[in-house]
Amino acid sequence: MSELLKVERLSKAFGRRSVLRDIGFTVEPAKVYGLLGCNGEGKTTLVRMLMGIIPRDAGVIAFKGRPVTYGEAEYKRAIGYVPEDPFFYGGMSVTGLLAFNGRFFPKWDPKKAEADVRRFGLDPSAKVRTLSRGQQLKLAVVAALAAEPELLILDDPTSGLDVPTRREFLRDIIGELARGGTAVLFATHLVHELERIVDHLFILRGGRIILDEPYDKVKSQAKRAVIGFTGQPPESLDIGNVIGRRRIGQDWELVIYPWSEAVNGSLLALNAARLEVEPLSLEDIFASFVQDAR
Amino acid sequence: MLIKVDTRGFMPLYEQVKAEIRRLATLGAVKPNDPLPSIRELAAEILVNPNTVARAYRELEQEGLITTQKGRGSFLSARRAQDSERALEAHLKRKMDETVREIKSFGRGPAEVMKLVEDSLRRLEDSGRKGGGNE
Repeated sequence: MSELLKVERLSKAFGRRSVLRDIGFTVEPAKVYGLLGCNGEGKTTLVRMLMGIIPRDAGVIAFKGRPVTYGEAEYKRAIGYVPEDPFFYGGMSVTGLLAFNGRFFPKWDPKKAEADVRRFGLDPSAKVRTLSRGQQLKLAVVAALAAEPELLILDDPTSGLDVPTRREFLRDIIGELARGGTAVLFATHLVHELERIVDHLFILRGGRIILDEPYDKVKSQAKRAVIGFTGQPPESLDIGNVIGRRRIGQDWELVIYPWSEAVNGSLLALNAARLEVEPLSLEDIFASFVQDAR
Repeated sequence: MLIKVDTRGFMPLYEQVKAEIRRLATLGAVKPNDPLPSIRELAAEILVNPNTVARAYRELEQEGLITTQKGRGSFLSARRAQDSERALEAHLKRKMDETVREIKSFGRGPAEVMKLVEDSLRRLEDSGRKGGGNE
Protein backbone atom coordinates (compact mmCIF):
# COMPACT_ATOMS: atom_id res chain seq x y z
CA MET A 1 0.00 0.00 0.00
CA SER A 2 1.73 3.14 -1.15
CA GLU A 3 -1.03 5.56 -0.20
CA LEU A 4 -1.40 6.43 3.42
CA LEU A 5 -3.97 9.15 2.97
CA LYS A 6 -6.04 9.95 -0.08
CA VAL A 7 -8.40 12.88 -0.29
CA GLU A 8 -10.81 13.41 -3.16
CA ARG A 9 -13.21 16.22 -4.08
CA LEU A 10 -13.26 17.54 -0.53
CA SER A 11 -15.36 20.67 -0.03
CA LYS A 12 -16.36 22.83 2.86
CA ALA A 13 -18.40 25.99 3.30
CA PHE A 14 -19.22 27.92 6.44
CA GLY A 15 -22.70 29.25 5.81
CA ARG A 16 -22.61 30.74 2.34
CA ARG A 17 -18.84 31.24 2.42
CA SER A 18 -17.07 28.49 0.51
CA VAL A 19 -13.70 27.76 2.14
CA LEU A 20 -12.42 24.68 0.32
CA ARG A 21 -13.47 23.39 -3.09
CA ASP A 22 -12.65 20.09 -4.75
CA ILE A 23 -9.55 19.40 -2.72
CA GLY A 24 -7.70 16.24 -3.75
CA PHE A 25 -4.24 14.95 -2.84
CA THR A 26 -2.32 11.88 -1.78
CA VAL A 27 0.10 11.30 1.08
CA GLU A 28 2.62 8.46 0.90
CA PRO A 29 4.65 7.00 3.80
CA ALA A 30 8.04 8.40 4.80
CA LYS A 31 7.63 11.73 3.05
CA VAL A 32 7.29 15.28 4.29
CA TYR A 33 4.45 17.29 2.78
CA GLY A 34 4.28 21.03 3.11
CA LEU A 35 0.76 22.44 3.03
CA LEU A 36 1.29 26.12 2.40
CA GLY A 37 -1.28 28.85 2.39
CA CYS A 38 -1.73 32.32 3.82
CA ASN A 39 -3.71 32.78 6.99
CA GLY A 40 -7.39 32.33 6.28
CA GLU A 41 -6.92 30.12 3.23
CA GLY A 42 -8.36 27.06 4.96
CA LYS A 43 -5.30 25.08 6.12
CA THR A 44 -6.73 24.55 9.58
CA THR A 45 -10.19 23.75 8.19
CA LEU A 46 -8.65 21.11 5.94
CA VAL A 47 -6.62 19.59 8.77
CA ARG A 48 -9.67 19.55 11.05
CA MET A 49 -11.68 17.70 8.44
CA LEU A 50 -8.87 15.16 8.04
CA MET A 51 -8.91 14.67 11.82
CA GLY A 52 -12.69 14.36 11.90
CA ILE A 53 -13.04 17.37 14.17
CA ILE A 54 -15.45 19.11 11.84
CA PRO A 55 -17.68 17.45 9.22
CA ARG A 56 -17.06 17.83 5.50
CA ASP A 57 -19.73 18.96 3.05
CA ALA A 58 -18.60 16.62 0.30
CA GLY A 59 -15.73 14.38 -0.68
CA VAL A 60 -13.84 11.28 0.36
CA ILE A 61 -11.10 10.86 2.93
CA ALA A 62 -9.44 7.45 2.79
CA PHE A 63 -6.81 6.26 5.25
CA LYS A 64 -4.74 3.27 4.11
CA GLY A 65 -7.22 2.56 1.38
CA ARG A 66 -10.32 2.66 3.56
CA PRO A 67 -12.78 5.58 3.39
CA VAL A 68 -13.39 7.04 6.83
CA THR A 69 -16.60 8.55 8.08
CA TYR A 70 -17.08 11.64 10.20
CA GLY A 71 -17.08 10.76 13.89
CA GLU A 72 -15.02 7.62 13.43
CA ALA A 73 -12.13 7.26 15.88
CA GLU A 74 -10.27 4.16 14.77
CA TYR A 75 -8.05 5.58 11.99
CA LYS A 76 -7.03 8.49 14.19
CA ARG A 77 -5.05 6.15 16.44
CA ALA A 78 -2.45 5.92 13.68
CA ILE A 79 -2.25 9.70 13.30
CA GLY A 80 -0.30 12.08 15.50
CA TYR A 81 -1.90 15.50 15.49
CA VAL A 82 -0.38 18.70 16.79
CA PRO A 83 -2.95 21.49 16.54
CA GLU A 84 -2.20 25.16 16.27
CA ASP A 85 -3.28 25.73 19.83
CA PRO A 86 -3.08 22.47 21.71
CA PHE A 87 -5.79 22.13 24.31
CA PHE A 88 -4.99 20.29 27.50
CA TYR A 89 -6.69 19.93 30.82
CA GLY A 90 -4.73 22.59 32.68
CA GLY A 91 -5.07 20.96 36.06
CA MET A 92 -3.24 17.81 35.04
CA SER A 93 0.49 17.29 35.47
CA VAL A 94 2.67 16.57 32.45
CA THR A 95 3.02 12.92 33.48
CA GLY A 96 -0.67 12.60 34.31
CA LEU A 97 -1.73 14.06 31.00
CA LEU A 98 0.54 11.73 29.01
CA ALA A 99 -0.73 8.68 30.94
CA PHE A 100 -4.31 9.80 30.26
CA ASN A 101 -3.58 10.37 26.59
CA GLY A 102 -1.82 7.03 26.24
CA ARG A 103 -4.98 5.11 27.01
CA PHE A 104 -6.42 6.13 23.64
CA PHE A 105 -3.52 4.81 21.59
CA PRO A 106 -2.82 1.08 21.22
CA LYS A 107 0.81 1.62 20.18
CA TRP A 108 1.50 4.14 22.96
CA ASP A 109 5.10 3.94 24.19
CA PRO A 110 5.31 5.28 27.77
CA LYS A 111 9.11 4.99 27.81
CA LYS A 112 9.40 7.13 24.72
CA ALA A 113 7.03 9.69 26.24
CA GLU A 114 9.09 9.77 29.41
CA ALA A 115 12.38 10.08 27.52
CA ASP A 116 11.00 12.88 25.32
CA VAL A 117 9.74 14.80 28.35
CA ARG A 118 13.27 14.72 29.71
CA ARG A 119 14.85 15.52 26.37
CA PHE A 120 12.54 18.52 25.87
CA GLY A 121 13.35 19.77 29.34
CA LEU A 122 9.75 19.60 30.56
CA ASP A 123 9.10 19.24 34.27
CA PRO A 124 7.14 15.96 34.61
CA SER A 125 5.28 17.16 37.71
CA ALA A 126 4.42 20.66 36.41
CA LYS A 127 0.74 21.47 35.99
CA VAL A 128 -0.05 21.92 32.31
CA ARG A 129 -1.56 25.37 32.86
CA THR A 130 1.76 26.67 34.17
CA LEU A 131 3.59 25.78 30.92
CA SER A 132 4.50 28.43 28.36
CA ARG A 133 3.19 28.29 24.81
CA GLY A 134 6.44 26.70 23.63
CA GLN A 135 6.36 24.13 26.41
CA GLN A 136 2.73 23.24 25.70
CA LEU A 137 3.65 22.74 22.07
CA LYS A 138 6.49 20.44 23.10
CA LEU A 139 4.08 18.49 25.25
CA ALA A 140 1.74 18.14 22.28
CA VAL A 141 4.64 16.86 20.19
CA VAL A 142 5.66 14.38 22.91
CA ALA A 143 2.07 13.13 23.02
CA ALA A 144 1.83 12.87 19.24
CA LEU A 145 5.14 11.01 18.87
CA ALA A 146 4.64 8.58 21.76
CA ALA A 147 1.72 7.11 19.82
CA GLU A 148 4.20 6.00 17.10
CA PRO A 149 2.07 7.55 14.38
CA GLU A 150 2.14 6.52 10.73
CA LEU A 151 1.13 10.05 9.85
CA LEU A 152 2.02 13.16 11.76
CA ILE A 153 -0.11 16.23 11.10
CA LEU A 154 1.29 19.54 12.28
CA ASP A 155 -0.94 22.58 12.03
CA ASP A 156 1.27 25.67 11.99
CA PRO A 157 2.98 24.53 15.18
CA THR A 158 5.96 26.83 14.96
CA SER A 159 4.15 30.15 14.63
CA GLY A 160 4.71 32.11 17.80
CA LEU A 161 7.87 30.22 18.73
CA ASP A 162 11.32 31.80 18.83
CA VAL A 163 13.97 30.71 16.36
CA PRO A 164 15.99 28.40 18.67
CA THR A 165 12.80 26.62 19.76
CA ARG A 166 11.71 26.25 16.13
CA ARG A 167 15.08 24.70 15.27
CA GLU A 168 14.83 22.33 18.22
CA PHE A 169 11.35 21.40 17.08
CA LEU A 170 12.63 20.78 13.55
CA ARG A 171 15.38 18.55 14.94
CA ASP A 172 12.76 16.48 16.77
CA ILE A 173 10.71 16.06 13.64
CA ILE A 174 13.84 14.98 11.75
CA GLY A 175 14.55 12.44 14.48
CA GLU A 176 11.05 11.11 14.08
CA LEU A 177 11.45 10.84 10.32
CA ALA A 178 14.66 8.89 10.76
CA ARG A 179 12.75 6.34 12.81
CA GLY A 180 11.37 5.39 9.43
CA GLY A 181 8.08 5.27 7.65
CA THR A 182 6.32 8.19 9.30
CA ALA A 183 4.77 10.65 6.87
CA VAL A 184 4.46 14.28 7.90
CA LEU A 185 1.88 16.79 6.75
CA PHE A 186 3.11 20.19 7.83
CA ALA A 187 0.59 23.01 7.42
CA THR A 188 2.27 26.36 7.74
CA HIS A 189 2.72 29.87 6.45
CA LEU A 190 6.25 30.07 7.88
CA VAL A 191 8.25 28.27 5.26
CA HIS A 192 11.81 28.85 6.35
CA GLU A 193 12.26 25.64 8.35
CA LEU A 194 10.10 23.61 6.05
CA GLU A 195 12.49 24.28 3.19
CA ARG A 196 15.10 22.00 4.73
CA ILE A 197 12.89 18.95 5.09
CA VAL A 198 10.04 19.16 2.61
CA ASP A 199 9.66 16.46 -0.07
CA HIS A 200 6.41 17.59 -1.62
CA LEU A 201 4.52 20.87 -1.80
CA PHE A 202 0.85 21.71 -1.72
CA ILE A 203 -0.09 25.37 -2.07
CA LEU A 204 -3.60 26.31 -1.03
CA ARG A 205 -5.16 29.45 -2.43
CA GLY A 206 -8.70 30.59 -3.05
CA GLY A 207 -10.04 27.33 -1.65
CA ARG A 208 -8.13 25.12 -4.06
CA ILE A 209 -4.79 23.40 -4.25
CA ILE A 210 -3.00 25.39 -6.94
CA LEU A 211 0.30 23.51 -6.72
CA ASP A 212 0.87 19.81 -6.04
CA GLU A 213 4.45 18.93 -7.00
CA PRO A 214 7.66 17.40 -5.62
CA TYR A 215 9.74 20.15 -4.06
CA ASP A 216 12.90 19.25 -6.03
CA LYS A 217 10.98 19.86 -9.21
CA VAL A 218 9.56 23.17 -8.03
CA LYS A 219 12.95 24.28 -6.77
CA SER A 220 14.70 23.50 -10.04
CA GLN A 221 11.99 24.98 -12.27
CA ALA A 222 11.22 28.19 -10.41
CA LYS A 223 13.55 31.04 -11.29
CA ARG A 224 13.76 34.76 -10.94
CA ALA A 225 14.75 36.72 -14.02
CA VAL A 226 15.90 40.30 -13.70
CA ILE A 227 15.79 42.12 -17.00
CA GLY A 228 17.54 45.46 -17.22
CA PHE A 229 16.87 48.07 -19.91
CA THR A 230 19.00 51.06 -20.74
CA GLY A 231 16.17 53.29 -21.91
CA GLN A 232 12.53 53.30 -20.96
CA PRO A 233 11.54 49.68 -20.12
CA PRO A 234 8.51 48.29 -21.96
CA GLU A 235 5.14 48.64 -20.25
CA SER A 236 4.61 44.92 -20.38
CA LEU A 237 6.60 41.84 -21.35
CA ASP A 238 5.27 38.95 -23.34
CA ILE A 239 6.90 36.03 -21.53
CA GLY A 240 5.19 32.73 -20.73
CA ASN A 241 4.83 31.01 -17.35
CA VAL A 242 5.22 34.21 -15.33
CA ILE A 243 3.75 33.83 -11.85
CA GLY A 244 5.00 37.09 -10.40
CA ARG A 245 6.23 40.38 -11.81
CA ARG A 246 7.24 43.82 -10.68
CA ARG A 247 9.01 46.79 -12.14
CA ILE A 248 11.87 48.32 -10.21
CA GLY A 249 13.12 51.49 -11.92
CA GLN A 250 14.37 50.41 -15.32
CA ASP A 251 14.32 46.73 -14.47
CA TRP A 252 11.64 44.14 -14.72
CA GLU A 253 11.74 41.32 -12.21
CA LEU A 254 9.85 38.21 -13.21
CA VAL A 255 9.24 35.03 -11.28
CA ILE A 256 8.88 32.17 -13.71
CA TYR A 257 7.45 28.71 -13.14
CA PRO A 258 7.95 26.33 -14.74
CA TRP A 259 11.16 27.36 -16.46
CA SER A 260 11.53 26.08 -20.03
CA GLU A 261 13.64 26.44 -23.14
CA ALA A 262 10.81 28.45 -24.71
CA VAL A 263 10.82 30.89 -21.80
CA ASN A 264 14.58 31.11 -21.99
CA GLY A 265 14.31 31.86 -25.70
CA SER A 266 11.72 34.58 -25.31
CA LEU A 267 13.81 36.23 -22.56
CA LEU A 268 16.82 36.25 -24.89
CA ALA A 269 14.71 37.65 -27.70
CA LEU A 270 14.02 40.77 -25.61
CA ASN A 271 17.62 41.78 -26.30
CA ALA A 272 17.76 43.52 -22.96
CA ALA A 273 20.90 45.25 -21.74
CA ARG A 274 21.06 42.90 -18.77
CA LEU A 275 19.54 39.55 -17.94
CA GLU A 276 20.14 37.72 -14.70
CA VAL A 277 18.57 34.42 -13.72
CA GLU A 278 18.64 33.31 -10.10
CA PRO A 279 17.28 30.50 -7.96
CA LEU A 280 14.42 31.21 -5.55
CA SER A 281 14.00 30.26 -1.93
CA LEU A 282 10.84 28.42 -0.94
CA GLU A 283 9.69 31.64 0.68
CA ASP A 284 10.05 33.53 -2.62
CA ILE A 285 8.29 30.75 -4.51
CA PHE A 286 5.41 30.68 -2.06
CA ALA A 287 5.10 34.47 -2.05
CA SER A 288 4.95 34.53 -5.85
CA PHE A 289 2.22 31.91 -6.00
CA VAL A 290 -0.01 33.69 -3.50
CA GLN A 291 0.97 37.28 -4.28
CA ASP A 292 -2.13 38.71 -5.95
CA ALA A 293 -4.41 36.76 -3.64
CA ARG A 294 -4.27 39.50 -1.06
CA MET B 1 32.34 16.25 10.33
CA LEU B 2 31.59 19.79 9.27
CA ILE B 3 29.05 19.80 6.48
CA LYS B 4 27.31 22.91 5.30
CA VAL B 5 24.25 23.17 3.13
CA ASP B 6 22.55 26.24 1.79
CA THR B 7 18.89 26.28 0.80
CA ARG B 8 19.30 29.33 -1.42
CA GLY B 9 21.30 27.89 -4.30
CA PHE B 10 20.19 26.05 -7.41
CA MET B 11 21.86 22.85 -6.20
CA PRO B 12 19.47 20.37 -4.56
CA LEU B 13 20.28 19.58 -0.93
CA TYR B 14 21.27 15.95 -1.57
CA GLU B 15 23.77 17.13 -4.20
CA GLN B 16 25.19 19.56 -1.66
CA VAL B 17 25.62 16.77 0.90
CA LYS B 18 27.41 14.67 -1.72
CA ALA B 19 29.65 17.54 -2.72
CA GLU B 20 30.50 18.26 0.92
CA ILE B 21 31.48 14.66 1.66
CA ARG B 22 33.56 14.59 -1.50
CA ARG B 23 35.21 17.83 -0.44
CA LEU B 24 36.01 16.50 3.05
CA ALA B 25 37.45 13.32 1.53
CA THR B 26 39.66 15.31 -0.82
CA LEU B 27 40.83 17.60 1.95
CA GLY B 28 41.69 14.55 4.01
CA ALA B 29 39.33 15.61 6.80
CA VAL B 30 37.75 12.17 6.40
CA LYS B 31 40.21 9.38 5.66
CA PRO B 32 39.70 5.99 3.98
CA ASN B 33 37.94 3.57 6.36
CA ASP B 34 36.79 6.43 8.61
CA PRO B 35 33.18 6.04 9.73
CA LEU B 36 30.66 8.59 8.48
CA PRO B 37 27.88 9.84 10.75
CA SER B 38 24.69 7.82 10.57
CA ILE B 39 21.93 9.14 8.35
CA ARG B 40 19.98 10.08 11.43
CA GLU B 41 22.88 11.90 13.10
CA LEU B 42 23.84 13.85 10.02
CA ALA B 43 20.23 14.80 9.23
CA ALA B 44 19.70 16.12 12.75
CA GLU B 45 23.01 17.94 12.70
CA ILE B 46 22.55 19.82 9.46
CA LEU B 47 18.75 20.00 9.81
CA VAL B 48 17.67 18.27 6.65
CA ASN B 49 15.30 15.46 5.84
CA PRO B 50 16.86 12.01 6.51
CA ASN B 51 15.66 11.04 3.00
CA THR B 52 18.05 13.69 1.65
CA VAL B 53 21.05 12.24 3.50
CA ALA B 54 19.99 8.69 2.59
CA ARG B 55 19.87 9.62 -1.09
CA ALA B 56 23.29 11.28 -0.91
CA TYR B 57 24.82 8.21 0.80
CA ARG B 58 23.13 5.87 -1.66
CA GLU B 59 24.51 7.72 -4.66
CA LEU B 60 27.99 8.07 -3.14
CA GLU B 61 27.94 4.35 -2.55
CA GLN B 62 27.00 3.73 -6.19
CA GLU B 63 29.85 6.00 -7.17
CA GLY B 64 32.17 3.98 -4.95
CA LEU B 65 33.23 6.76 -2.60
CA ILE B 66 31.62 5.20 0.46
CA THR B 67 30.68 1.71 1.53
CA THR B 68 27.83 0.75 3.80
CA GLN B 69 27.87 -2.31 6.03
CA LYS B 70 24.66 -3.58 7.49
CA GLY B 71 24.41 -2.69 11.15
CA ARG B 72 27.79 -0.95 11.18
CA GLY B 73 27.10 2.17 9.19
CA SER B 74 28.89 3.89 6.35
CA PHE B 75 32.61 4.37 5.82
CA LEU B 76 34.78 6.22 3.40
CA SER B 77 35.98 3.66 0.88
CA ALA B 78 39.50 2.31 1.26
CA ARG B 79 40.35 3.05 -2.34
CA ARG B 80 43.40 5.06 -3.14
CA ALA B 81 43.01 8.77 -2.64
CA GLN B 82 43.68 9.21 -6.35
CA ASP B 83 40.34 7.65 -7.14
CA SER B 84 38.38 10.12 -5.09
CA GLU B 85 40.54 12.80 -6.61
CA ARG B 86 39.41 11.61 -10.02
CA ALA B 87 35.78 11.48 -8.93
CA LEU B 88 36.10 15.03 -7.64
CA GLU B 89 37.65 16.18 -10.92
CA ALA B 90 34.76 14.61 -12.82
CA HIS B 91 32.27 16.25 -10.48
CA LEU B 92 33.88 19.67 -10.82
CA LYS B 93 33.98 19.36 -14.59
CA ARG B 94 30.31 18.47 -14.61
CA LYS B 95 29.41 21.48 -12.42
CA MET B 96 31.49 23.78 -14.60
CA ASP B 97 29.89 22.41 -17.77
CA GLU B 98 26.45 23.07 -16.31
CA THR B 99 27.34 26.64 -15.46
CA VAL B 100 29.04 27.37 -18.76
CA ARG B 101 26.17 25.78 -20.67
CA GLU B 102 23.71 28.04 -18.87
CA ILE B 103 25.80 31.14 -19.56
CA LYS B 104 26.13 30.17 -23.24
CA SER B 105 22.38 29.64 -23.47
CA PHE B 106 22.09 33.39 -22.99
CA GLY B 107 24.14 33.91 -26.11
CA ARG B 108 27.40 34.83 -24.37
CA GLY B 109 30.67 34.10 -26.17
CA PRO B 110 33.94 32.63 -24.77
CA ALA B 111 35.41 35.98 -23.72
CA GLU B 112 32.27 36.86 -21.79
CA VAL B 113 32.23 33.44 -20.15
CA MET B 114 35.81 33.95 -18.99
CA LYS B 115 35.02 37.42 -17.70
CA LEU B 116 32.05 36.12 -15.70
CA VAL B 117 34.20 33.39 -14.16
CA GLU B 118 36.94 35.86 -13.25
CA ASP B 119 34.43 38.35 -11.82
CA SER B 120 32.88 35.59 -9.76
CA LEU B 121 36.28 34.55 -8.38
CA ARG B 122 37.05 38.12 -7.44
CA ARG B 123 33.67 38.58 -5.75
CA LEU B 124 34.02 35.37 -3.75
CA GLU B 125 37.53 36.30 -2.66
CA ASP B 126 36.30 39.75 -1.61
CA SER B 127 33.47 38.32 0.44
CA GLY B 128 35.94 35.77 1.90
CA ARG B 129 38.13 38.62 3.11
CA LYS B 130 35.16 40.38 4.65
CA GLY B 131 34.66 37.35 6.84
CA GLY B 132 32.81 35.15 4.38
CA GLY B 133 29.49 36.62 5.31
CA ASN B 134 27.07 36.12 2.49
CA GLU B 135 24.29 35.52 5.00
